[in-house]
Amino acid sequence: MSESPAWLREQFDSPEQQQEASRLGIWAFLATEIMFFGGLFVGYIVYRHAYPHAFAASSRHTNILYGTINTAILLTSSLSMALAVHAAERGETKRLVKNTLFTVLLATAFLGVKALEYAEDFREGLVPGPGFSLQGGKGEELFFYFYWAMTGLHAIHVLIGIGLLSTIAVMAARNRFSAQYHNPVEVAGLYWHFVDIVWIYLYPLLYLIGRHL
Amino acid sequence: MNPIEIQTVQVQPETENYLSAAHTVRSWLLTTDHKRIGLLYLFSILIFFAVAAVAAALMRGELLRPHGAFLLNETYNKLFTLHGVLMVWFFLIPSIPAVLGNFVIPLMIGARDVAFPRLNLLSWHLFMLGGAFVLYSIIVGGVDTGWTFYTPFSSTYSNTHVILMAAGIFIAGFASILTGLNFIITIHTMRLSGMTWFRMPLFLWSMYSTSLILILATPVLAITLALMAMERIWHIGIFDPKLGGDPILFQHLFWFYSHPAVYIMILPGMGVVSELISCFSRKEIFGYAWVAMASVAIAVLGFLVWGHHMFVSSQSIYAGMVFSVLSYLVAVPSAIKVFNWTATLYRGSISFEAPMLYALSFIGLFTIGGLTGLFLAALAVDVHVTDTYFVVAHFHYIMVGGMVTGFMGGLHFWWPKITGRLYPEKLAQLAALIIFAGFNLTFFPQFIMGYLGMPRRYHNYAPEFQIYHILSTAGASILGIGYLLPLIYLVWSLRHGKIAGANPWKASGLEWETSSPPPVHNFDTPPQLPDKPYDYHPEADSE
Amino acid sequence: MNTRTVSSKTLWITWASLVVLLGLTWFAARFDLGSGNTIIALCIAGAKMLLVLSFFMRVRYSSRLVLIFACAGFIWWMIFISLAMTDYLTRQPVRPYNRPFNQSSTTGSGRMRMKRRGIAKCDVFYAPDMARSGDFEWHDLSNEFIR
Repeated sequence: MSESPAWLREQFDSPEQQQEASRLGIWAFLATEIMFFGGLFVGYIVYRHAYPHAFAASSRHTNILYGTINTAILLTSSLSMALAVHAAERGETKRLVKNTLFTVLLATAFLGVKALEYAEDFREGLVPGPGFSLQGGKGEELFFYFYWAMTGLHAIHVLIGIGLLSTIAVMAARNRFSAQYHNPVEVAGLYWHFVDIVWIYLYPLLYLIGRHL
Repeated sequence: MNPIEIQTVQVQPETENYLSAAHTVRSWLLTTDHKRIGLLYLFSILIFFAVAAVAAALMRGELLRPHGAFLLNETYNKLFTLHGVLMVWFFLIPSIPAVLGNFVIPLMIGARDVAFPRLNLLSWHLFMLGGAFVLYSIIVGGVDTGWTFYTPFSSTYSNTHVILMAAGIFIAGFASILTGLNFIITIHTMRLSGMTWFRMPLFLWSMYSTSLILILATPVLAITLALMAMERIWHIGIFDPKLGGDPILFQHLFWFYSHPAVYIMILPGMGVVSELISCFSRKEIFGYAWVAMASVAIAVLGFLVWGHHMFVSSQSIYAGMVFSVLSYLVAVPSAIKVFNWTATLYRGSISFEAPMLYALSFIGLFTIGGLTGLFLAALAVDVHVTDTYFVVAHFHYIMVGGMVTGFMGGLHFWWPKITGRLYPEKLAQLAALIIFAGFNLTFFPQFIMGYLGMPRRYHNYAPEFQIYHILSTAGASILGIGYLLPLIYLVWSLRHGKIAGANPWKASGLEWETSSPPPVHNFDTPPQLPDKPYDYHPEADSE
Repeated sequence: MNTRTVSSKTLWITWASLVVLLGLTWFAARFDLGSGNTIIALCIAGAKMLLVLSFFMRVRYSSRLVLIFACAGFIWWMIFISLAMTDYLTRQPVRPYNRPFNQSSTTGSGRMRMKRRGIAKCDVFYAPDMARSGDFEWHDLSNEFIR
């Protein structure tokens, strides 16, 4: 097969097959991620059902400004990533690199805000364990357990996303992608949007429960 | 006819196959060839099986005497934990999928490899890394929580290396997920042109269904083990009642994975049996579409029944009733398969080669195991027999009598394809019969003593159960010999077995259209799709 | 799988809608709407998710197989939470069978004491009455359990 391009892997018969495989592959992987985060969401729902007032009271101690800013950052990063994929499928390398780098920048900003937020939570004694400062009852410590676990796991995924997207940016800058071949960009984009969706749910569940109190 | 010996002896030295292509360690450890990865898995799971089997032997020896023979309580606890952990996650779950599935699936669909060969290699390395963690945790003292890691014992009170072992399982879980993902995408996108879903061999339907479970259930195990480990380290209270948590939440999370996991540990065996029954009755599977859909139904329904492991856990009784009804429902597709296999046998041209003996054993033993599952699904009965040897016998009938038997059958069936050699048939048939006899002697007494009240995970027991334990241990010795025999003669056959042709069984399926062993890229000439998935003509007795 | 149908204009409009929804959810949280708070928040989150899925992740422009894969994870999670909640929503009180409901249990008998305080939602794990509300605090009497 002398006419097959270098990026066509030998197990595939055609570029379409390779593209379909990588697209379905990332969607199957995202399904596994839904189940992975899903375990934490199940635990959250069970305990919120058990301790509704404790959860509402503790949620007021989260920093809604940071939370809202972070949500806006992630939504915008989703836009820039979608624009990056848009550029990739038109073979516009410069726009692809620019948008991918902007996404990385926003993701880093997200982590920066998160770091500030965690530092503040730590200072206020919102880490479950011996130093926990809220006295409202068991549910409060459990709420913060889920707060740290869920936002922590999410932050790990953001970090992985930064690594992934940086790699994509470098590969794009080296002209590895074209209008005919940009599967990795699409795969990375889908991963990034998933990370965004998880946060879309985390925001109301962690930051907005008891705001009216 | 079958002039295998004459033809291929001359062909063999000239034709390069996947085994002769390279001999370095690096070419094995860094291979992306699905066939070599299948063999790497075979080698690995045999090691884990051996360790777990030694643990079983020690336990069965211990159980000969009512007040323990030579083990401390703690040691006995550690033995049944390691037996469960290794057998479930490091032998059964990878057995057919990662060994036979990896090897056969691309061949069966007429492809050159799986969709993501490098992920396949990563999967094996993760599996070994996870296994290393688990073996290390055993060496430094072991874990005594049982393979089920129930809280709050595992999260608060146990003094053993729980986190180490949980880390090993967590890592190996990712190996499962990657394998399942690979298979799903491969089956969706890389089938030979013309091979529609309903023209696929049933082994592929079973592997697809198994892969659905692998990717949707295993992540929940991962998060569950992580939560348990975090609880153990930081004592936050997610599973600790003193701090407001619910230990039963752990059981919900754990069994949401582990019940579908037991379907991972039977569906591939069913897939193998479909292939064996049709080949050795020279007849296509009766009700092909029903069997195919039953595989998917088992996978889906298997996610709805996990609460039947928790009937006496203080789970709500209403939830128990829901899970009980759903558990009865999940037995239906399994029964459909058993009926269809039986109908396939009817008026087929049956021969009793070793793979067929294993397939027939499977049908009988799986039926017993499955029916006793229905007894357990009845709430009232379960109150009486839960946590007794009745449950132990039930799942061993399915996992050993079913899955391991299916694995042995598949291994023998595809052995000529994998190695290019035939195993000694008479010895193999003898081994199959020894295994069948030993297995029943080991596990049938366990049904009886379980019903009479012998609890599981105990090595101190009331003297009236001793006779059953003695029978069971005797059976286990025979079973052990039964499993040793194939180990010996299969290894022997690698050098001294008769050389196999492309299709020694005259079986239907694209994997038989290529040489044994296959070339590196599976097919030297593009394979031809047969008219039907099972293209057998019993009247003509030849293809 | 014609992915060229997503225009950058669609992407910008999607982003704008997402930001509006973000503002809406923040705004709605400031008022006490009882259980409406949770419902509204989850509906808005659901709408945001559908926007991201349909336009950023292009499910709207992809094959049906992609749609099935996208739905599968979510459906499986729904199976998990629904069946798990059949347990948590129907847990019954822990009390001695031969004693009426409103009598307190005796100390030292190894049972858990339940104390009602105020009017709030009940503790579902050991709730005396699913219909009534009250914040419950229970004391673990494990020290007093007979060994």
